Amino acid sequence: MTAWLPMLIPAIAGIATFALGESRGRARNAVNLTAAAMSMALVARLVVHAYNGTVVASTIPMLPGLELGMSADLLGLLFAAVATVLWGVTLVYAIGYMDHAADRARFFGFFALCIAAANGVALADDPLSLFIFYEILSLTTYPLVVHTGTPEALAAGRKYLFYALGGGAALLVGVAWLATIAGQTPFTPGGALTTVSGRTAELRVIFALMVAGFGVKAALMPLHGWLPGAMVAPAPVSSLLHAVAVVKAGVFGIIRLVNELYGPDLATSLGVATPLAILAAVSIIVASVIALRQDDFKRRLAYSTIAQLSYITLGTALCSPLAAAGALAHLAHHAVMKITMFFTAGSVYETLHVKKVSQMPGLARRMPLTMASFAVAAFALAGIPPLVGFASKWMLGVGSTQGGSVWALLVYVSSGALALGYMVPILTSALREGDHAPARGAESDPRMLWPIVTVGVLTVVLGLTAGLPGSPVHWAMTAIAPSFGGWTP
Amino acid sequence: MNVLAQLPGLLVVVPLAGAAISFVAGRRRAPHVALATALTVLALAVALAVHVLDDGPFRYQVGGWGAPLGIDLVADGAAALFLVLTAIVGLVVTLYATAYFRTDDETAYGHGLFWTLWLFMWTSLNALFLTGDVFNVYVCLELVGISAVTLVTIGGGAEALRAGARYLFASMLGAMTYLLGVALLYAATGQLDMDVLRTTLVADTTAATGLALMIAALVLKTALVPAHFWLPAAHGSAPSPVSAVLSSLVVKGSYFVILRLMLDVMPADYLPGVEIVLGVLGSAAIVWGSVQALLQTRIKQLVAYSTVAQIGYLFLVFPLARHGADVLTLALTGVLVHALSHGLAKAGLFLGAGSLMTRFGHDRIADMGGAVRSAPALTFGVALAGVTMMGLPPSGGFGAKWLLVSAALASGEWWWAAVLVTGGLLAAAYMFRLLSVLLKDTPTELHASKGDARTEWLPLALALGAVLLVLAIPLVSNLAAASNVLIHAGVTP
Amino acid sequence: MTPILPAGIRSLTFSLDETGTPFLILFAFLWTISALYAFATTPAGERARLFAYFVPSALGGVTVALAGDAISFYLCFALMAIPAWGLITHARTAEARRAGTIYLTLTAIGEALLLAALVIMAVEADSLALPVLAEAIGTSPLRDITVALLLASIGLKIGTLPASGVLPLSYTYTPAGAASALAGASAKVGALAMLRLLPAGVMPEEWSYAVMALGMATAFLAAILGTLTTTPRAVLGYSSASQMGLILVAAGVSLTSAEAAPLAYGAIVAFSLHHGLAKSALVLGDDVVSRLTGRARTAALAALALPALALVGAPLTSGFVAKYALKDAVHALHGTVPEAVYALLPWTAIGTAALMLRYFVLTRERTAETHVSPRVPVALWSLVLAAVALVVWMWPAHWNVHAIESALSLSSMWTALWPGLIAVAGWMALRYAPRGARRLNGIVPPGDVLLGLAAAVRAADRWLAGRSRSGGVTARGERADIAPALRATERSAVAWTAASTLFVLLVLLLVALSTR
Repeated sequence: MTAWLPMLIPAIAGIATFALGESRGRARNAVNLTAAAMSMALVARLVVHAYNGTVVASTIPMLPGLELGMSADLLGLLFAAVATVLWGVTLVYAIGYMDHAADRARFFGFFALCIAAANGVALADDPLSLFIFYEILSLTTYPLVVHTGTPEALAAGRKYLFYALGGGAALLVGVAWLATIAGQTPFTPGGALTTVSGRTAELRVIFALMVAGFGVKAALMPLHGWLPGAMVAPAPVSSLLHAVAVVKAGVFGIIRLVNELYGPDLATSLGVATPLAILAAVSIIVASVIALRQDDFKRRLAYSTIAQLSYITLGTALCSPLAAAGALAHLAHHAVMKITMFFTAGSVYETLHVKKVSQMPGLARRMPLTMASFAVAAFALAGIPPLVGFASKWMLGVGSTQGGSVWALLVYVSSGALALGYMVPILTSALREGDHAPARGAESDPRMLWPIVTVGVLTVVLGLTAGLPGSPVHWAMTAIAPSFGGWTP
Repeated sequence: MNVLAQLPGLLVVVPLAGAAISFVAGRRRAPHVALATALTVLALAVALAVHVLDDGPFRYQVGGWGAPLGIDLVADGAAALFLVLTAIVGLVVTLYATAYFRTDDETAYGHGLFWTLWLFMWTSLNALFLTGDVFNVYVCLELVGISAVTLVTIGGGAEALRAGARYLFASMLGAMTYLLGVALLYAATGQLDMDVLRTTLVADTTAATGLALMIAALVLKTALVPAHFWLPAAHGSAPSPVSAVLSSLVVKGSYFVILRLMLDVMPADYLPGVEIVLGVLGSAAIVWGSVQALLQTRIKQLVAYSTVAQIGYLFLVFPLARHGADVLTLALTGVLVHALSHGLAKAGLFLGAGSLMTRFGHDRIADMGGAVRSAPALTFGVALAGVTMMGLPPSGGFGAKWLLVSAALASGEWWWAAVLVTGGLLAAAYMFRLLSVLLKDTPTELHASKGDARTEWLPLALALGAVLLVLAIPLVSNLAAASNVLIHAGVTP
Repeated sequence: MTPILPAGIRSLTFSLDETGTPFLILFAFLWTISALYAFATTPAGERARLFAYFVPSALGGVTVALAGDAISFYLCFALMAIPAWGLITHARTAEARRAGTIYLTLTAIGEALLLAALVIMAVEADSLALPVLAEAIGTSPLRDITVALLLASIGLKIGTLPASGVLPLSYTYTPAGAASALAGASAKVGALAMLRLLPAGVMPEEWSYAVMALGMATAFLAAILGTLTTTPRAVLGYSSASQMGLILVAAGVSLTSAEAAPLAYGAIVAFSLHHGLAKSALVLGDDVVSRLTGRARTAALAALALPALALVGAPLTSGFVAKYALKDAVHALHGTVPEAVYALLPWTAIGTAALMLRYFVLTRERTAETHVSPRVPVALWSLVLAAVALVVWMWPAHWNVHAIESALSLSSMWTALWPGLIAVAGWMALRYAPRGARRLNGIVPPGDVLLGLAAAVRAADRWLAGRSRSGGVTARGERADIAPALRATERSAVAWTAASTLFVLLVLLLVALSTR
């Protein structure tokens, strides 16, 4: 039962939020924050268990011959931890951000449900369970995307659904097909399809279908179209979409698919890993180049997200242990960096109504702490040591080279240069002299400011401690090692 | 005599008695009678389902005559399932109707008759699900048809009358065709009892023609494309509780008969090619109905066309049934789950549409912006019902889609899976077209005074039921195993 | 955990070794001087803004000499290079910003190339320690690509063709104090990288020759570009590029020949020290001159001769020794290319001399700005000048004893003198040149082809922006509306007659199937 709780606690919090209604704001905040704290404590406990070799798991019967299963293994817990911890941070931020907004019950309710679904994706023990929570995630995100109810928001929501449900359909067929071939296939490090012999053509098609399904949320080009549009959502939602739950669910699905469903060996011998890697590499470069040209702050961040997600996909698809571990670590690292950036985007919009990079001159003086945090995250994203992005980029690069894919290394380093290229102009624009006069008093609502500073500091701290036991890097290596039997980090 | 063995009879008698009592009780007390009847029937239906699960299918001889002379009722797993569905939806619709047909609204024409007609239709439906005799099927179909047509026109109004006339025409055309088929079948075999027919049916052109006519008639009654011409008008212009019942239950009645004829009564390949035709028409229905739903500008028309589409799924079982016991089991369980989830969700959707129409005072989708703020539970209910329509997890619709897709993939005929998936996406398209309007941020003055709490929460309850159905799939699977189809196919020992 | 993985800040190693020591001294000296100079000459209100970038840059710029492993080296390299953007754009003019953008773009590319090389080296060596890296890559199958990456990265840092514009761009708009550090120390990190990372004596001769040829080409071409440019600072920038081209020649020598490598390394160190100090003195020089008037100004102009002569390689200067060391290294190789390079080396001094003349003329023309007391700048400048004068005598002798000894021979002195004389003669002759030739004066803006490249990128961006806007419109327009047709079809399908016909057809179909 414990394995269900990381999913159930936010779900209950979400339903309670609906039940409390619009007017009882204090109670709503208390419920959500308490739930976040409880989830964090719970995940922490599960992590300790998992590190000690005890994987808490539980299943219930669902469809004929198939069970719905949850299992708190290290791999899933990494994602669950990211989602849960950043949920807590985002809650504080969102309470500040949505201070004067309408429909907060709806907002916070679906927000919690999203996290529940993300945790479900994280801990799902088999493709079917993963698919179910993956689709729930699509659905619970929709109300958040269209939250403001404006025509742009509705259009973005429509686009989001078009992609998400299309991907979901592909995934459904893939998962169902696999079930007809192989029955129940709980994720197993190194591959769960040992019982299937032959049928290579079918397995290839299934792999492609599943990649198409996960690729939508992972914003793998050309399935990325929804992401930039979905930027019309309120900033906490963008943060959630981009940093925490939604897109990470996609790449996490790919991680599970390659490492624990097919397994690196089968994925390589079927010849499906390399095309995926190439697709990811193209996404990295193309998205980075497009990001260079965006004036809209959040759109620029969105394209950056597309590129960064493909870091993870590429690292996974290389089927080299250190690259796979780097990819998993980057899942956490990118979350921290990108949430800092989206918090910043939201804060400057909410405080000064700045939406474009070209409107930023003067911002560095007007909101120094905010922009400093952003700068740290930006450099981290470009992979400047000793910040957090460097650790994963180094792992990914070393992993690519060890796996004999020097081209992937070159993609990673080029993308790092491009990241500087699209991040630095934001900083330089903010540093120019401009219309925004230095703030008298606080630079923004403290409930927005301190979460930004917190995650900004986190990008430094996680970078400095990347080599220590318990860091995402170490965690990722421990979680990935079993998929490459015999590999010891 | 064992009380449990009387359950089939009671399931027909109790609502009939309810109908009679409500007729004499007067319009103020009729709702209470109807509620009491609904609760009783629900209890009986659940008891029947439990009994079938425990002891397997059984026959009940009305008056003890026995086939071929008397009327036999057959209670198997599938019938129990439809009975329970009818009872649940019936109870909720009855509750909703107490708010919808307000007893203090003297101007409402014919509303007093609703309760009697509705309980009478319920009686006929229960009988239709239970009857084991092809001629009694005709009788039940007629009774259902007449009460349904009357109910469609109960609200008065030119549009309802036109729709009623069209519905009546379809109903009559179907009944006559069916009767002709039964006559041919009887002429060829001298048998009417389904169980007897199953064991005695031999290759014979007359019998085959008769069965083909019966199936064509039932297809018309089920409104499978292209014989769906009457459905959108009838379901779209009836009072909302009536629409709910028509869409979620009545079409399932005739479908259930097709299911039994195709998979149980007739030997495999008795009508070669018909199963393919039905599958193709089902696929066409899925696509065409969804596309038309997408084009509708009025909410109940949208929901009605959604029914046209969702009916299509039910017919995919027939081509899949040719592929062995495993696929048949998956597919049959799939369509049963689909019938259940669609029944619950569609009723919820029609009730929700009705509530929206009373609140807004019109039925134009485009002008329903901002519903989410004034009626959040209602909007949420519509959304949840939509989730089931789309076949997305976690919902009964997902369970159905999963099972059918699995069956299609296991059969090797993957194109049915493609149809299923496309249908889900199209459903998403038309549902979100509606939802995005409801979620739109437009301050609209709503007719809040008409917002009875029941009309807001009952659609949500039904939709939630459809969603939670996903947890009951093992149960449905057991009931499917206890159906005559699977027992006679040798799947269930 | 193998050492291949970044263990965070704890795993960074910093240590002082033989190679690092001269660089540490040079970097520490120059960054300190330039910090003091910048502090003294920057208005109080702008100091915070300047030093916000200066401090991290200096920190990286000095500690890079101590970096003992791949990650700390990369960290220091980045720490120095990226904040330097703030120094270049300090003036907040459009040109400065453009220069900053180009600089940062090239830096980002250079960093990326360096990182790629470091990753491959770390993997091949299964270690992060710098001394192991260069050794391991020599025997690796990935040797060629790694060396190419390293050379490209270093080339961007030191302004090798075709990126020779990067140095003039980074000097021109930067405040003098900071510019002197960039000129003296920053590019020398590229030289340090050659010593630390390039494998010695393992590459095929062709590689070596290509690198040497590129170095020579840079040396000549940068000199030509420099004589045609506009400001004293830009002239110095091209001069740096030209001189760094010579360093690249030394690196080319070391690539292929293990025997010549110590000589080449000696030349690289010598050149770095000499050029760092002299160039720093020149950069400060034109700023000092502009702050002086009257006789002090004349004296300062005269004092500029010391670093200028050193750069040209006049006898008894540091440049003379450095160039001799370089020639020695090239001489150790045999073959057509090294011999040609050897023969051409003295000729590069003509270009340097011409640049110095040009610099001198432009500096003399600078208008005086007397609003700040020149005392501190002059004092600091004098310190650098003293270092330029003395450095040759404090040479770390074991690098190349021969170079110092031969510095005193007559023949070598002549070799060092004639190119300078030719330049002076040419300069004189220019007075009688036709007007058209004189119009070439100042036609090269600092940054040359890089400016064109940047403009091309901007134009492409505008073109793309226009295209995507118009593309969006057509996409929406093309979506034909099939809804009316679908609605009409349904309307006719549910009409009484059509519906009845359809049903009859269905009946007929089923009956036909049943009677088949």
